[in-house]
Amino acid sequence: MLALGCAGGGGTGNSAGTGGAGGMGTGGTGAGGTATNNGCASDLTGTWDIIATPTYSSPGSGTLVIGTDTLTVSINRGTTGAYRLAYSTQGGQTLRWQDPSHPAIPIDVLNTPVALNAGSIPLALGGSWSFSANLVRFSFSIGASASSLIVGRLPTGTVVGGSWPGTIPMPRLGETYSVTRTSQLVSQFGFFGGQWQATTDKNSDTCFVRVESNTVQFNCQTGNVFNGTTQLTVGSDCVASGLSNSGYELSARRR
Amino acid sequence: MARGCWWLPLVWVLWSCATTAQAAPRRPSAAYGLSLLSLEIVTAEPGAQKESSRRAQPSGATLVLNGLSEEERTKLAQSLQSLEAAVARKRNPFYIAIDDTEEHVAARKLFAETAPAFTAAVALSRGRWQSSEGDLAVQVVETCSHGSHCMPLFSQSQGDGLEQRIRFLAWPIGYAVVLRASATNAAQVAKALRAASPSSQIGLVLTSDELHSLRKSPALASLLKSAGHLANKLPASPLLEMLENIRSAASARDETPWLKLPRDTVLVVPRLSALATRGRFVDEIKTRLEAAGATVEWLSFPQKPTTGPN
Repeated sequence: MLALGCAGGGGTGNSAGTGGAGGMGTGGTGAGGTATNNGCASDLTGTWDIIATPTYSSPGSGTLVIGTDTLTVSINRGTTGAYRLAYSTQGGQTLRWQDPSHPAIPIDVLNTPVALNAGSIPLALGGSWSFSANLVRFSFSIGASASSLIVGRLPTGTVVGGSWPGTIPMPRLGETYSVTRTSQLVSQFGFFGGQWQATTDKNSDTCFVRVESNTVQFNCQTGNVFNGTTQLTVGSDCVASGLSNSGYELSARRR
Repeated sequence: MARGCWWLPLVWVLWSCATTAQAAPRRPSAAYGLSLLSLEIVTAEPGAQKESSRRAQPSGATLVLNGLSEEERTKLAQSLQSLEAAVARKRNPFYIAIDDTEEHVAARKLFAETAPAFTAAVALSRGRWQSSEGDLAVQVVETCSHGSHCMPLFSQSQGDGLEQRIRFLAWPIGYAVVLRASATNAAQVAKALRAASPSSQIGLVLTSDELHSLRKSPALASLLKSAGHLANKLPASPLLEMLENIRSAASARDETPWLKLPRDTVLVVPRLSALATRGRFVDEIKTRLEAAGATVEWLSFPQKPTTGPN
C-alpha cells in the first residue's frame, strides 16, 4: 500500500500552477555544498546526501535529486553498483528503475495534471496517473478531491517477467487502494497536511498517516515491511531524519 | 498514501535492497588532545570505495557494549536468554506454540532496541567517511596535510555549507557532544546519560577510556556467554551477525585508535535519526545532567541547548 503511494512520485512539471512551492532556488549545488540551507520549510528542491541503516552493521550512502521536473533516488549497494529510480519530464515523461544486477526497466508514465499545492514538494503531483511496465499497470489520482488522496486499482491479471523493484512489496492485483483524509492539519506539505487513512478493499491492511508541520508519521498494520510505526522530520535547516520502531534510521541533508 | 515527505519511505525501502559497504578507514595517526584533532578533506581515490569494501570493518560491538550501563548489560543478557529459551522451545517436537511468532517478536524487539547504538558505533569506528558519489571524503587526522582543507574535529557551530556537509557525512563526530567532567565523575556523567528510552535522541555515550577497550564488569561475562549461546542456535540474519560481533567483542582490537580524547571527557553520539532534531538531542543531555546534579564543561556541541550549556 505504501509502495503505491511512493510509486506515485512524479509529475509532469509542465503545467503551470500544479506544483508545490518550488523555485526558492536554495539547493542543488555541487559537491562543495556551498548552498545556504535556508528555506526547506518552503522548498525541498536540491541534491540531498542520504545516510541510512538497513542493518545494524551496514551504514551506507545514497543521493536524492528532486526538482520541479526531476526525481532521482540512488542507493549504493556495496561493490556491485546502485539501485536507482529516476523520473524526469525533460524531453517527455520517463521513469526508469535500475537494479545493479539487471538491465534498467523503463516504466511508462501517463499524467493528466490538476492543480495541487504540495507545499515544499517541488514536483507537480496532482492529477491522474498511470504507470505500466512488464504487463503490470496501475492507475490512480491525487488530489481529485479535498478528502481523497489516492484511489487506485490494479487490474486482475498476472505479473509477467521483469523484476519488481527490490523488496518493495508488490501491489496485489485486483485490489483497490484508497487513501482518505480524516482531518485537516497545517503542514509544510500543503494539500497533504492532515490525518489520512489508507486501506484496501480486499484485506485488513491499514495505515494511518499524520502529516503535520514538518513531520510525517506512519502507523501501519500490514503484512509487509511497512508494518509498524515510522516518523520522518524535515528540519528547516534542510536536515531530514527518520526512525522506524523496528530500529531502522535514516538522515538526509541538502547540499 | 499521504505525500508529505513521501520520498523518504521510498528511500528507506530502496535502502533495504542494498547491502552497503563503505570505505574502510585509512587510520589517521593518533592525536592527544581535543584541540589537535581535525577533519581533513581527502581525495577520494578511484575505486577506493570498492577496494576498501573488501576489507574487514570494525563491528562496533565494543563501543556498543561500553555504551551500556551495568543495568542495561544485565537487561540485554536477560533478553538474549529469553530469546534463546523461545528458540529452544520451538525446537522441541512436543512443543505446541501458542503464538508461532513468539521468537520472531522477541528477536525483532531485541534488534530494534540495539540497532541505533550499533548504527552509531559502526559509523563512528570508520574514522573515514565518504559521500555516496565519492566526490568528497573526510578523515580524522592529528596533523593536516600541507594545502589540505581542514577544520576542527569538534566545534561549537556547524560552519559554512561545505563544513556542514562534511560534518553530516562524519555525523558520529560532526554532530557529537563532548563534555569534560571532573577527574572523579566522568563515569557518573556517562551513567546519567545512558539508560536511554526508545524516544531518546542519544545513540552512544562513551568516556575517553571506553573508546578503546572493553569495560569489564560482572554483567559483561553473562552477556557475552548469552550472545554466544544464542548465536549457535540462530540461522543467518542481521541479528545473528550482531550476536557474533558481541560474542567476539572481548577479543576485538581498538575500534577507534585515531580518536584519543583527553581524560575525563565524555563523548555523546546522537542517533542517526536525531540529526534533524539535534536541538532535542542537546536539550536531552542538558536535562539529564541537571537531573543527576552533574556539572560539566561543554567542549563541543552541534547546537546550543535551549537555555545554554550549564
